[in-house]
Amino acid sequence: MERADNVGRFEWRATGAGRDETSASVFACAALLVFGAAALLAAWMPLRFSIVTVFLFAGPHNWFELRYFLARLPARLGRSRNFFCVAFAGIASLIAAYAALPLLGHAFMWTGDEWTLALGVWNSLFVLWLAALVWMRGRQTPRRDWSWSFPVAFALVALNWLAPHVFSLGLVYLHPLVALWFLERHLRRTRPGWLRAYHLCLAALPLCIGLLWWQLADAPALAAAGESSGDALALRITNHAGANILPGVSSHLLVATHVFLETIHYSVWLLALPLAGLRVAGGARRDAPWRFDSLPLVRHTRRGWPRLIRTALILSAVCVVLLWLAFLADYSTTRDLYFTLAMAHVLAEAPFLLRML
Amino acid sequence: MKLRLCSVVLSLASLAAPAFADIPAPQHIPTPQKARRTAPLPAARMLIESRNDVTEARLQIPQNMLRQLRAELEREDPASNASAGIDSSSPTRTIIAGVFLSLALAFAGVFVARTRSRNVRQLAAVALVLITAAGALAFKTLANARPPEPRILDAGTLRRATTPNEGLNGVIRIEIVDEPNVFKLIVPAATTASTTTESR
Repeated sequence: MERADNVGRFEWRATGAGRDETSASVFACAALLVFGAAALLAAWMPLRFSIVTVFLFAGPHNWFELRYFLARLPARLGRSRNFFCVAFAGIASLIAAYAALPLLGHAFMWTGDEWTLALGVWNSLFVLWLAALVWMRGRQTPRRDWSWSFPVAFALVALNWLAPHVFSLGLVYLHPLVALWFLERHLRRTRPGWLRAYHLCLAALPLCIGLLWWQLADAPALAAAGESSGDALALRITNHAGANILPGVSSHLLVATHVFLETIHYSVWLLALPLAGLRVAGGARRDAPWRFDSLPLVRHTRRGWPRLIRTALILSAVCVVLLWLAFLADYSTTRDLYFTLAMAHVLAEAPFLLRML
Repeated sequence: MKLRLCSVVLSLASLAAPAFADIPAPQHIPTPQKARRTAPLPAARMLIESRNDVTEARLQIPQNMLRQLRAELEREDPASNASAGIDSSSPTRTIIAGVFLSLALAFAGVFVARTRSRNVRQLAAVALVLITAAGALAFKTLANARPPEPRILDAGTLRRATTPNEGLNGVIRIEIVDEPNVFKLIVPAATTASTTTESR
């Protein structure tokens, strides 16, 4: 009887494993399809693709990130209290400083050198904040010694001071990849069977970027290529991708690479992470993005703030709709404003990713 | 003990390169020939044509060559580099970078000294060897290989345009043309020129 029971369990496991393998294959195929489509569209019409992508997905992906972070925020901070205090204080200060930079620059008529100096200071503070978080996270586990974060941070700050604009551009290009790290940590916990397929997909990413670079290395500048009439918006997009910092590199290549990485970033936050969470929650689908019951701060009525969190999430959803309307009214100004304020989500990713390590 | 001794020796060896870096570069008086070697002049095809249908000598400059020359000039002009993103490093920024690099080395040293992990110590030893090797190779910067000699261009039949020890001169009109790559000097044919002179 016991043996029969074991056989039944084994068969069930085998079926489960088979289903997991199938879903991993589906996941890998979907991911590769997204990679390919994003690379193709980014290479073909980078400016239009960038405009459409930011318009459609910039707001919603911020909402999904907020929801994801709230799901990872414990109701009782416990030993992580100091870590979160430093994290939130850093996010608030750095975003305030980042938003104040253009205002101060215009008010005091900063020269190029003064801009560079201000950017260098901001980058340094950001790196040191990050190092402090890494060190604090390391201290939460006795067998970890993450004090290497300070020498690494100091070396990075030194590099930053050699070319602050290039360092900032590096952050612009690296940030989309952080989403892939989140997904890796998430799958490691919830879907270990998908990891192999996911790693194979990750290996395809440099291939896509390599193909983009190979095809577009000698592509004419975007305004000259006639894809856009060279208006102010095109100039903003090309400058955001670093065309003014790297004048020797084709602006077509830069915008295509940037929009490709951004699309991957949006796909991870809007598709991969919610879907992976949805399946794990099982038949009850408690972890569906539109249901807030699974959030620790909502679930714990005594320690959490259920009403506040629900209201904040609903208000954020309203803000997403308002952002769409603002994009429709004045795309260029809204884009500038969005990318300034969106620094908050870039900063918020750091402590939550560290919590997952 | 041996490990510490090796570390000290390697550290001193790695410091030798920066010490040599303080030595001023030998003063060279650039001769015209050397100057030409370091910055080869742009090259283009030249055509001298004698035509009956013109009365004035003309120098035709291809538009693409003019654009190229303008770009070369802008690159050499430091004032035009102000807008470039990667600007030349200011002393303040270099000093700050140096201070942080020193801090990085100091903190790395403290970290390696404090750590109990064997892997970290091995990694530090490998890093030290690599830095030493890089420092040793830095000497090569003092012995830069000479840039390759510029290719000697064939003047072709242009040599026939002048006679030895006798220069030709005259006034020319300069015009920019769409025809790419070839500089053209159009000279009125001898008969046309003499007729024009006679009629005056």
